[in-house]
Amino acid sequence: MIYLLRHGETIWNVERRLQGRKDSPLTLRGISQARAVAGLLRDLINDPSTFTVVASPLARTWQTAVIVSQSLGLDCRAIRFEPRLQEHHFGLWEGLTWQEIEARFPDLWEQRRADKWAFEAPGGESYARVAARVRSWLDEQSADSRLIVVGHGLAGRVLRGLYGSLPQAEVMEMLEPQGSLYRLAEGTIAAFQAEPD
Amino acid sequence: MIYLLRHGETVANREGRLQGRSDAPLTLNGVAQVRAIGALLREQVAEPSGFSVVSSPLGRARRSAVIVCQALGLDPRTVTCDPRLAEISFGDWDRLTVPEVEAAAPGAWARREADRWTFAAPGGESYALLAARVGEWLKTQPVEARLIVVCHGAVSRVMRGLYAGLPPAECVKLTQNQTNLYRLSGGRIETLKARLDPGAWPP
Repeated sequence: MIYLLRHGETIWNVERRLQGRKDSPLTLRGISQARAVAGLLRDLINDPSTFTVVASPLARTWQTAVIVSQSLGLDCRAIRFEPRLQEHHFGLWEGLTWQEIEARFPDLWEQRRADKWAFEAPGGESYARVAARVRSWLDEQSADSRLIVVGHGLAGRVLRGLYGSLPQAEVMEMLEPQGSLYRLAEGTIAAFQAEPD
Repeated sequence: MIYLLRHGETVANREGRLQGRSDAPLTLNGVAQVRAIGALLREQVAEPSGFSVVSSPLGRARRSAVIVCQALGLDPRTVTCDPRLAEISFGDWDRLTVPEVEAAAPGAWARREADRWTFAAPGGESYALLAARVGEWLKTQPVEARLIVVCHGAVSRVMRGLYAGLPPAECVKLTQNQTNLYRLSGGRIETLKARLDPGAWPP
């Protein structure tokens, strides 16, 4: 069983900048979202101490994992980091908004639109490569593992897509909300929505 | 006028680890501390928009600066970072606890505590080196500047020591509480204490 959440809202999320492997701090809203998802987890899980928190090693997911761990009464030192769950690497495009990317890289922008799954931004990676590394992680998880995974928008969509054997086109159209929680168990995905307090 | 604060409590603070140039997330207590200082600033500052927020580039300070900005109704995008405000480097000792330092280099921590001003950890900085870069930053701030500075324990000590002209031996022993706000104005330093209201979090 995997509970999957995205990190809370960050400053760059507010500015609609591509973060990728770069990072920006959580906003107060992002902190509230993390607490709210922890509240959901408390409602859904009888004994949090039987779960392991796994986080992408980026700072926004680490910070979110600390908030979730503390809210559940778990030891922050027990958080495990998994580089294969890091966000999609957008290379030179990181820190820019989609509008800026479209204006500065019109040809590449067109290429991406033509084939999003295979496209790699300069110095970045493709959906296909993200799927390969997320797949390699997912394949290692046993059916009886109990995990709370703190991940990212795009890499989280890919993880859900792989788990649910969804078509690529669907993975690229999914929502990636903050303050939401997905349960990946027994071959099905359930979505839960937290209301930030 | 400078309002000076330290970042909120981090996971590494709670574990008793030296952070230096390494970084760690804020704990929920750390978030509450910074929010409380933000509320105190709101009481102190009539016109927050007349202030600029300057932060150390380290994550824990930037995360705290965002919370302060939001508490004051300022745009977090206007925060500027100055590398001269980064924490003292502990070099090889970054991320270690004091017992771990003691195990790696017996007697070294005691030598450091006996002379913090000139002692530098392997690959790290002494307070004297720290004071040189913080002093360089401080002397370039105009008298009429209105700043909120988000930094670190040792940086805050040194800045207050330099501002008040304290001798090094006193400077290195100044308090560095995570719920204190210091006002540096007119050659004087005032200590303001934020009230951590247990009912204030979650909002």
